[in-house]
Amino acid sequence: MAATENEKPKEEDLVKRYIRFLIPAGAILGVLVVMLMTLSDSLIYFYTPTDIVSGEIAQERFRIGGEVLEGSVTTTDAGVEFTVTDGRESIGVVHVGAPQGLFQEGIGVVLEGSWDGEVFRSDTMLVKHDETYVAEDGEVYDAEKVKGDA
Amino acid sequence: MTQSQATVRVFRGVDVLAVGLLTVGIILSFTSPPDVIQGELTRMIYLHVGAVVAAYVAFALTALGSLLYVITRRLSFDRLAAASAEAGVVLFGVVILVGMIWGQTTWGSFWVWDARLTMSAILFFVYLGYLALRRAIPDVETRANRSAVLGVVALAMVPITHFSVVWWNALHQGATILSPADPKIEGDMAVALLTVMVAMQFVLVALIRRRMQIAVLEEAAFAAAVSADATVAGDAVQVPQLGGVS
Repeated sequence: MAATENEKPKEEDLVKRYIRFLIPAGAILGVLVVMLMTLSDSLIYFYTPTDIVSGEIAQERFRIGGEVLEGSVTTTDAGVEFTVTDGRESIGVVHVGAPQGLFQEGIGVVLEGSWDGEVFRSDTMLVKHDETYVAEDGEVYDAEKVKGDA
Repeated sequence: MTQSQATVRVFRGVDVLAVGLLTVGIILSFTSPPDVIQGELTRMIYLHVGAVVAAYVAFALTALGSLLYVITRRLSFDRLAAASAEAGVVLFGVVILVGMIWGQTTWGSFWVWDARLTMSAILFFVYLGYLALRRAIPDVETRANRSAVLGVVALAMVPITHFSVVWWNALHQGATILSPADPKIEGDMAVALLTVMVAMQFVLVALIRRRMQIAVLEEAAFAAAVSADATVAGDAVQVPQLGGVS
């Protein structure tokens, strides 16, 4: 495949050649690192019930994520009410609007709304499915491995 | 450009394997059981994950080709880098497209700015930028030198994208196959997924090989066009010609 190329080794200073590679490469990497460090905080997509209970969240409106507690779902006229847990802390959620199609007990959800001190009032729901894939016969599912992770 | 008989045979084998394994993979994708929660929607994982692994491999080949070009100055390594980047961008486009459909049907949104999707978007645009950079530089060696820098550095986006779901709370789920713990997937699904993943690697090689062949032809055509345009010494005193230059 190399027949058409001129591959005469250039009498170019090796050091100069590598420097001309390394300096721009370092500069781009530096920009990348700065970008990531700046983005880092805003890349947290949702907070957890633990964050709410410990009172760390300053924003009025934010997202929380967690798992819908088994047996906690009640349907109301305006939407659904349920409890969201991250395994350590649980909070009540009043959701206005139709829940997502896959919404069910035990599934992960990300809700957008505000915390009024007692319940989280949500109007936007995303369903967060986890990384386990199970057939009807339930070969792999491990309910204990419910992770409060991302 | 003559390729040895053995090389031709190897690449023909790659083509056959790409088509064959992909066919098997597609059949397995539709015969594997549906997921308990997601139902039939879970079938999107086969293309989504299969393509993303091949895209990551392609971007790694771009970095490898770039690095080898800087060390050896052989233009064929630059072509490897360019061809891989193009194949990777196509595959990653497929990943994003399928992912958006999957997201709409399971999460309830085509796009969210969580860590995984944000990083994927940056990754995608970085490699589009790499391709744009190549288009912007006509001289073959200057282009190879400059794009080699980006070709190596851009690879950093791959681990950042892959681990974004671990580092930040994201809507996107974590890794299933490449997770540090045991793979969390039912047996038949795992077989289908692994088949598609392997098939996509052969598809990738077939794509890269053809793109590299095209690149050689492109460079030759470009060089021919340039030399046809170039002013030759003594041009000014050329005798009048009938018909002129085509």
